Amino acid sequence: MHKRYLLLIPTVFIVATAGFFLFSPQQKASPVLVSPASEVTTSQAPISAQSRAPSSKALAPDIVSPGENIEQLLNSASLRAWDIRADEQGHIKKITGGLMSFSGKNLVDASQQFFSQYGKRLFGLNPKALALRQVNENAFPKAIIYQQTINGIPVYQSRIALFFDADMNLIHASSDQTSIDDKHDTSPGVSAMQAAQSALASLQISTHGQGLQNISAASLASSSEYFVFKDGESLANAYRFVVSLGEPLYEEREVFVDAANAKIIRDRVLSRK
Amino acid sequence: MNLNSLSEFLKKSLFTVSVLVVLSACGASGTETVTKNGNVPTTGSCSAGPSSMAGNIFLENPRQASSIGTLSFTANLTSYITNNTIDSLDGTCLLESDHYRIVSDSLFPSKVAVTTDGFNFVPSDPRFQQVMAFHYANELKKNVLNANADLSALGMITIDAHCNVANNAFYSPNSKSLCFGYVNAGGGKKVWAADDADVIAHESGHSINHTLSSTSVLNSSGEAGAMDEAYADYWAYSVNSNSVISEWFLGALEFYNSITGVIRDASANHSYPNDMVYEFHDDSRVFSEALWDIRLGLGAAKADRLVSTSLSLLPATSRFHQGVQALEDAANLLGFSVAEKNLVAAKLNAKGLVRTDSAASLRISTNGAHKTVYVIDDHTLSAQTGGNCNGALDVGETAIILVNIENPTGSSMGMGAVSLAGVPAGVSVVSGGGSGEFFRMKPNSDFVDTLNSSGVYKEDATLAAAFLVTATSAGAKAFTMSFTPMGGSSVNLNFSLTVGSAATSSGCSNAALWP
Repeated sequence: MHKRYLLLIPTVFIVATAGFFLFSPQQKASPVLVSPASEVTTSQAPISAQSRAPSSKALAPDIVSPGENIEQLLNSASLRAWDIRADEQGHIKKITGGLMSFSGKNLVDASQQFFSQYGKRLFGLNPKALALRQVNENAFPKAIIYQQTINGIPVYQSRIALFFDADMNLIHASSDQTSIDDKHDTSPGVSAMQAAQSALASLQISTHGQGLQNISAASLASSSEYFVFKDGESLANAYRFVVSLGEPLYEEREVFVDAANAKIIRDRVLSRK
Repeated sequence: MNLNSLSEFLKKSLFTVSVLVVLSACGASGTETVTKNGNVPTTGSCSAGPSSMAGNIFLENPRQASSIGTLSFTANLTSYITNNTIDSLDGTCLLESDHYRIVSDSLFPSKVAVTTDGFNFVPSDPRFQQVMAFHYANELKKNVLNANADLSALGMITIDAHCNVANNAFYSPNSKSLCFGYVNAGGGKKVWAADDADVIAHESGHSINHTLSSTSVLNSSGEAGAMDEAYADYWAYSVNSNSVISEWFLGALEFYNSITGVIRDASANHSYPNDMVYEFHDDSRVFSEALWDIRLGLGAAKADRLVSTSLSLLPATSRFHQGVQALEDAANLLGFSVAEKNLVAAKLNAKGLVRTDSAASLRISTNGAHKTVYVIDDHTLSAQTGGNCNGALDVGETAIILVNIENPTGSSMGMGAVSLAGVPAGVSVVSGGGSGEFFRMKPNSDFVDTLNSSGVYKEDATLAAAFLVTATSAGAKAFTMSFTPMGGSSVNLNFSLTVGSAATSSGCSNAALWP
């Protein structure tokens, strides 16, 4: 017998805990909150030493400032030594293997200098749309991570991470952000309460052959967070909840609910066994 | 598709084969009787307690400590304990350090260890497991800090050394807590997860992983979850210098549930992609075996630095391909020699993890015994609506669509990412339903053949690869999907469906809809 079919499951009670809707979209997710990714692939094609200065056509238009020559940029003294990798759409995803000096006193200073000099040109960054999420200064390499935002709402799994050595030289950077229409409407169509009810209800689904009605309890284990969620080229606004399941699974699930219609966007196990 | 809610429920987990458990009054293995008086957290009873003191532990676990590989799970374990130094104490007189603490115990709330009682407990005393859990979590933390990692974001992790959960142990990134359960050994006796340092280091390792990387990164794909498990196993190796994970607790899980294959051994030889079954723990083996081989080649100190640095380099959406790149980038950033970098690459390559798969020959299945497109219009997911279970997409239905692609070459393919690149009028894609991943493709086979391979978690893998769409008008519909193979260039594949007008339904089931 397959191991999974050893599951014997009792009866379901859906219990919504109080206070889970205290977090409205207007309050916005904390910029230091861990937030995550869409399932868009980030296939990274190396730009070889010979071909690493592709024509402007090969790179996404939004990384080139008007009138700027991308070949010139990639062949500039400051970038010549770097291994630069882009996806098939021409978005640069990673630069590594080089060294860029900045005079900043700390990671925030140094990263801001990087953004002002290279951010737009390399990664299509709008520094005003970035929220500081995490700083790790006590390690090698030092790391600073920014989250892309729209109207202050974090874009799920859209971030840029910069890595520095002890002398505050940039030695590695990676970007997961893609071009997003700044005019995207971030207003929710349903309330966090409606979304929470949907998240809980989703756990009452029936299955082909295996009912899920027998989980002993399901409750919201977190207040909501609000994200812009990318699915391929599409955008949705979504609430994120953590739902805790009782006996016999004893696991937490991360559920994203479409803020337009309260439909489930993603439902995954969060706890790790 | 990301809506794999059903299958996750049905999934076997690393430390879990869930069985119905009715908890009776329970005690630690042995004769101790404990009065439960509610799970009231103990607060620090002093502010100037010791920073270290002697305490009893097992060196790894009872079977390792005794050197008896067949030691009975109900044996008296007292003779296998070792007196050790329990350090990193923060002076609160509790088992509390800067990042891990034990202030309560679900099954033994009146037996929370405090320094004033000493830590020299025997295994039948619940406080023994508390000392074990605290000690080994801190040992791992010290190893990772020695690797020059920054754990300031780890915060405070609360440990429950006797969590009220059978056949299980887990880390909750949401509540920042560690739960160590038990296996029922009959006669009221239990085999505790916290008697096994491999389990402690593995679960504590998840807390390290989610700090050095992030919960979102490690939840970004099936292979990201597998890497989370592989790295957690690696940390257990680093603490116990032993390639076998959990001869004791997982051994008991196997023994009392009459199953095999749960204990993992990094000296085994799994390979990518043929051993992938789309389950985190099973799929972690190939990656953890590579990490173990790297550790043997580089030595513990360098390997620990490589592993901790690579975790911080993982991008937001990570699969094994990104994991391999992160290890290679980390080797570069850490200034490894050419020989060391070659060793890292060779160990990864030996597992089949260094790949540039080609999707150029992929096509829609030509296997006459299988469908080219599976329309699963039942009610498996809450996001499915209107399904009438007739296997065709009808107006008003929101249904799962699995495109059965075929790999006509003689080479296996690793994980491929897919997205709907072209959607016809009259069909809309549900948010979150426009992308997915094919966990692997067998040579000269279609995806349904791969799904039917031995051990594959078929429902999970089906849902992960499928799309979720809603039909709003009838007629022939032409779609385009983009497939990006591991390390290779994407291709577009066209497929078509005819949307019908059969009546929708609010509930039905039909197992035949599934491949």
